[in-house]
Order: sequence, then C-alpha cells, then structure tokens
Amino acid sequence: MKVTIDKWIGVSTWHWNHAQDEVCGICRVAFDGTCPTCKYPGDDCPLIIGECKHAFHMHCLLKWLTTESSKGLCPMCRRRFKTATE
Amino acid sequence: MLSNFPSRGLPLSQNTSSSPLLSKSSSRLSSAQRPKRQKQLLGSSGPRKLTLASSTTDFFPNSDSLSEKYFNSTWLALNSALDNVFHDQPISDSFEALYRGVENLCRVDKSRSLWENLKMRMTNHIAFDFVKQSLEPAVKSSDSADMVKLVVDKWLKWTAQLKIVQNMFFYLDRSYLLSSPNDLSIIETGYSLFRKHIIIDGEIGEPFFASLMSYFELHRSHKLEDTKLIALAIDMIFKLDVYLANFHVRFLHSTRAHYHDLSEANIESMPIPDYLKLTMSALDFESDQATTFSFQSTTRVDTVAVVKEEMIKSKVDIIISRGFDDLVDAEDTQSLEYMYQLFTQVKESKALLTAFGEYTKREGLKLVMDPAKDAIMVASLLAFKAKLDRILAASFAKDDDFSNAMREGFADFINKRQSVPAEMIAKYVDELLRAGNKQMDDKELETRMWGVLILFRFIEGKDVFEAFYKRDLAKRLLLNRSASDDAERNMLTLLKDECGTSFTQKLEGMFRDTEISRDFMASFKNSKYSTAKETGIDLYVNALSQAFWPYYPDTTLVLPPEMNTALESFQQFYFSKQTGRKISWRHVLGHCVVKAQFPKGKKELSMSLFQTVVLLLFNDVDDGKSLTYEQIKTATDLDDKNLTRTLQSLACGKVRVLSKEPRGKNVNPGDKFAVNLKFEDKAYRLRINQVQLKETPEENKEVHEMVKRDREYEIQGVIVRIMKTKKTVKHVELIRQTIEMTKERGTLDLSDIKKNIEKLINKDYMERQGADTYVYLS
Repeated sequence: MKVTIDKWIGVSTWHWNHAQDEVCGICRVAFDGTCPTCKYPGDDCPLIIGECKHAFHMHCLLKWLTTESSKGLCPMCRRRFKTATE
Repeated sequence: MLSNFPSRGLPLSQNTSSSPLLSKSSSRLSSAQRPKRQKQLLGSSGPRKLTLASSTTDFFPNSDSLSEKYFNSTWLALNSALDNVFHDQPISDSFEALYRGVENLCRVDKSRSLWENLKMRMTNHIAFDFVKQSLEPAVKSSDSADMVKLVVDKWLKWTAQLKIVQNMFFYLDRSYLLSSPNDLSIIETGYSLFRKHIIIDGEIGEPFFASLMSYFELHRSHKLEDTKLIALAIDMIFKLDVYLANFHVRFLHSTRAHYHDLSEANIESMPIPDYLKLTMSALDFESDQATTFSFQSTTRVDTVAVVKEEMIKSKVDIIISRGFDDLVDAEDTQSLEYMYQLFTQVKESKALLTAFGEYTKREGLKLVMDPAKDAIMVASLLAFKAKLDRILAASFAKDDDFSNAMREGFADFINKRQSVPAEMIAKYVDELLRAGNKQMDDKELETRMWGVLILFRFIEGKDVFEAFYKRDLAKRLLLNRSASDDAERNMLTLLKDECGTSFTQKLEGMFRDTEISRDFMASFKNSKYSTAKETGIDLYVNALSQAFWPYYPDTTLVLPPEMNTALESFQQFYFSKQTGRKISWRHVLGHCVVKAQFPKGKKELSMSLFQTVVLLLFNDVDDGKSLTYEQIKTATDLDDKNLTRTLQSLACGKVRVLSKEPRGKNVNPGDKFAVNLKFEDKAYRLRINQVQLKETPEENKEVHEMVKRDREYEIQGVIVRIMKTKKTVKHVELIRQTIEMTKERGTLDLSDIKKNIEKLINKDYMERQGADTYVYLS
C-alpha cells in the first residue's frame, strides 16, 4: 500500500514570545488575551516590556502611567518605567 | 271597557226592588255628562261656573235614608251576581244594570261601603272557597298532591273571575279606588288577597313551592315533558309579586341542593373530563331554563353562580388532584379549557395555576434528573415545552400568569441538576449545526435553534453552556464540519441577543481567527515559502489566538520528514509576518486528506493527523508484514491514550484500513497491525476522522473543571472589586453583594464564596477584622 498526503489542515496557536503563561500585572488577563478595552488579541493589543523586565498589556500600562499616582513608576517594582530596547 | 261586557240581555225589571232606583239613576245618567259640559263652559267663560255648580248640588238630595236603602238593594243584586261569578255560573242580571248600580252607588258617596263589602266578599271567596274548601283538604289528604296544578288552577280561575268583577265594578275602580291613596285597584286587591291567603299565610304556600321545586327537579333530569304548568306558575309568581321574596330564594336553595347532591355523587367516581362536561352542560341548562321561564336576571346570575359554587368551587382541590395531571398528560385541551374557564369564573384559577406550575416542575424534573436519559434530554424537553405551549394556547387562553408559571417551572427544574442540562443543550446545538445533519431545511433549523434557545434562557449556569459550545464550535470550525456558515452566524446572533456581547465575544473571536487564517494562508500559498510543489502536501494552517479557544494540551508527535519541511516553511513565513510571537502546534486537531492505493482500488481518505502519521508508517512496510503496537508507539511518539484511540479507529471502526492481530474491539500493547489488503468500499471518498469529533470522557471532565476554575476566578474578581470600593465590609454584606453581582452567571454555592474569600485572605488581598468584618489590603 502506498499512502500520500494530499492536503493537510493543521492547527496552531500563537503566543506572545514573552512570558507565555503569565497574566498582565494590571488587568490580570493573560497576555495572550487582550487588555480589557480591546476585543481581539494580536497586533492591535500588543505587550510592552520594561527595562525591569516586567511586561504588561501596552494599553494597560499606558493608562496606568497617565494617572497621577503612578509617578511614572512600574506598578510591579516601583522603578521608573522605561520600555526595554531589545 | 264596556264593550268587553258579555251582553246577556237580561231585563232590568226582574229585580223589582232595585228597579225604581235604577230607573232613577238612569235619569241621572245625564248628570254624568254634566261635569263634562261644565268643563266645556268653563273653557269659554268663567263666571257661569258658580251657578252651574250650585245647581248640581241641588240635583242630589242629601238624604241618608234613601241612599241607605238604595245601597242595600243594589248590593244585594251585586252580591248575588258575585256569587254567580265566583261559582262560575251565569249572572242573572244584565251587566249593564250591575255596572250602573255600582256607578250610582259611587255617585251617592257609597264608594267606601261598597268597596268594603266587595273586599269582604272577595276575601271570603278566597279564604273559604279556595283555601278551606279545596286547597287545604288537598294538602292534608296526601303529601303527593300536585299543589302546583291545584294552585295554578285556582289562580287561573281567580284571574278570570277577577276580570269580570273588575268590569262589573269598573266605576268604583276608576272613580274611587284610583284616586284613593290607601286603596289598591280591584285587580291588585284580588292579587294581594290571593297572595296573602294562598302563598304567604296558611299551609298552602310551603307545599306549593315544594311541589314547584320538584317540578324543576324533574325538568333537570329531563323527565318533564310539558313545561307549560311551570311557565304558568312562574307567571303567577311574577304577578303576585312574590318572585324575589319567596320564589327566588327557594329556587336557589333547591338548585344548590340539587347540584350539591349531583356533585357529591359524581366527584369521586366520574372521570374528570366527564365531570367538567357535566358542569358545563348544567350551566347551559340552567341558563336556558332561566330564559325559557323568563326568570329575572338576578335569578339567572345567582343560579349559575350556585351551580359553579357547588360543582366547582367547593371541589377545586378534588378536581385538580383527581384530574389535572392526567389531563395534561393526555393533552386534553378541551377539558383543560373547561377547567380554566370554570376555575377563573369562580376565582379559583390560582389553584389551577399552582397545579400547572407544579406539574411543569415535577414532570420536567423527571426528564432532567435521569442520567440514563441525558442523550435525549434536550429533545424531550423541547417536546415537553411544545406540549405545554400547545396547552397554554388552546386551553389557558395564553394567560400570562400561566406562561409565567411554566417559565418559572422550567427555570426551577432545569437548574436542579448541576451543569448537565447546559451541557446537553450545547451538544444539541452542536448536532444541529454539524455537517451531515442535512435532513432539515433552513427554516426547520431556525425553529429548532429558537426552541433550544428558549431552554437555554432558563439555564443559570450559562458558563457551562459556553464552555461546551465553544469546544464544539472549535471542532466544527477546525475540522470543517460546520453545516453552514450562515447557520453558525445566526446562532451566534441569537446568543448575542440573549446574553450580550461579552458572552459571545470569544466566540466571535474564534470566527475571526479562522477568517484571518484564511487570508493568511492565501498569501502563504503565493509566497516563496510554500512547499506544496516539493512535498506534494497542500498545507493549510489555522493560526489561533489562544485566549479565544478552548485549551488543548500539548501532544508529542513525530512527523515524517516531508511534513516537517512543510511545517518549518510555514513557521518561517509566519514569523516573517508576525513579530514577537511564537507558535505551538495543536496536532490533536490537525486533519489530512490522504490518497491511498489499496490492492482493491484507490481511495481518498479524510482522517486525523494522528491517523495519517500512523498510516504513513505502513508505506515502508511490505504488504502482509505487520507492525507491533510498541513499534508504532516508538515511531510516532504518541502517548498511549491517543495511540490507542487512533489505532482503534483504523483497525476496529467501520472503515478498517488496518487489520489487527489478535482480532477484537480493544487495542492492547503487543497487538500487531498490518494493512488490510482486502479493504474495499463502494465510496471513493471516505471519512474516518469521526474519532476526532467525538468527545472523550476526559475532555468532558476537563471542561467541567475548567468551568469551575473560571467561576472561582470570577468570584474572586467580584469579591476584590467589592472590597476595593468598600475597603471594610461585613461578611453578610459581602456575600450578598457577591451573589448580586454574579447573578447572571448562575447561582453560586455559599460555600464556594466562602472558599474564595478564604483564598483571597491567604493571598493577602484582604484580612479579617473581628468576627465578621473584612478589610481590603491594597
């Protein structure tokens, strides 16, 4: 018997490269999900990673940084938040 | 009036004593005209009146002795005439003479005495001739005397006699009685005497009414052929004005007794539908009877009310307990309608409502609670609902209260069983939407979706439904088993309308993912990365965002080199388009179309990736040779569970492309597998990946656990939100608010909330303060 594959319908799931199993420290939603304001994950709702290596949904963090009490600090470690440059 | 007199033509002179007086009176006849003339004159000139008036008084000699004499003689004549009338004999004098006698007496101011005499005479006639002579002996002689007939006979006789008397004393009636405020007319007096002596006083009234009631009794049992006598009696009762005080009350009383007995005799033994019919026909009968005998409307209303009271109101509980369930079981809409109407009329519809609600709950619970019937649960629930809907429409006039009771009943019983109904509803929808379910057209499909959605509405644990629906939807989308895109979208819209956007957001995301993948794959095919030409494999990949889709565990699988090449090239393409991402493969969902050359023909097989990989191994095995379970396991690196399922589907299912040694339904380690060289099938294209669609017990368990986990997170989230706004809160208040906020998600167990408060305390989100207060820790 000879068997050849004609067509293959595969299934894959994509994840953000960073911190696969973790959740955003601000909204507690998985990184693979979206921040509370977005509907679909992906490039519309990307992650942001600080120099301190803490990652958040970008929207969540930006919202945090606009608040008075944030003083521009990372919500996790209270260091000044700067986007990590890879 | 006068023209009604029968003309006997008797000469006046026969009565010698009265003749001179009568002749005298006849001369006065002209004086009867006088007032008339006087009036005419008055009309033209006033002053003449006085002279005429004085001359009138002159005309009547005021002589008592004369009039006394005259009165006596005239009365004698009248009395003997009355005697004749009362004994139904011809009158000897002429009516005209008698009439004039009366008139003359009245003119000489003898009206009062004449009236007294006449009244006495009439009273005697009734009290003696009717009562003493005829009716009383009849009452006394036997109980069974037909009093109705006797009294009505007397009545008829009396009315005829009265008429003659009235005519005879017409002048008295008109001139004296009419203007005298304290006296009744002759007819009225006659009626009143009859009423007094026969109906009200004495011993005749009671037997008469009793006898009349027995006539009605006969009429009710349709044994009375001639109703004329009743009609006459009722007419008499009306004329005598004893309807309300005497007849009405007695009639209601006897009606009540009749229907009380009827109801008592039948309520325990007669089938309820017959009993209801009996009541309906009784109501019709009583109403007709009231019309036939022209009862007053109050009697009709009261009678009908009495029948309902005796037949229904006092028997509500018995009727319901004896008949309701059976009627609904048998869907006897007619009887149920009677029941509804009658109960509503006696203001007892509440009892029916309760029974209906309880029936819904009890019968529904039977459908839901039995695990052996899980597979047909939704179908039977739908049938049950449809049946109740039919009854609602046909019998209960779509009464809002009743449909509410039904809804409450459904919401109650369907949530008595945890999770399973929600799961079964999800599966039912899956079956509807799954391809290969082509026996129904779009319209039918839509009605079924509507139906199932109504059931879904009652479910409190909507998260369970969502979890299963999602899992099933994933399989339909990824394995291309969805019957139609439109139907899927329709269902999604229905769910969205029902539960809001947040509920369907993930489901929409799943659709979006498959759409994105479609576009993405189109560009992949045209790119330089595509390896379709080199490997011969047309690769299509659904790249999904994990958050929307159910979780699938990682599986190990060794792919043949050419498949790996195809995969690699896709990954390269993917990464070239998307940055910051990585991909994990969900091979458990992959499926392939495979061309296979069997000795007995070429086949195109649609199968799961696992099946494909296993089957590909046999490319390198000579025909007739076999591979052991262990060899396959090493070559594919599949875990035991998946491998067993895969091999089972290939060697033990309906389409057996492999043969197994030893034969049997189960795959065990050490079994040998070879290509089934004798394989043949009528069809060219074969689908053998059903095993992928089927839900395994593990999967099922996993979904339930996932739902439980999600619920915990949600409860915790809600608790934290409450704590955050309140800072300190009492235990009871916290529990109450938590339940409030999670209501739409379904009911929560109190212990679940407590457990999660405990967990949050452990995680330092909050702490206890005193015995029953929590403080939020920021």
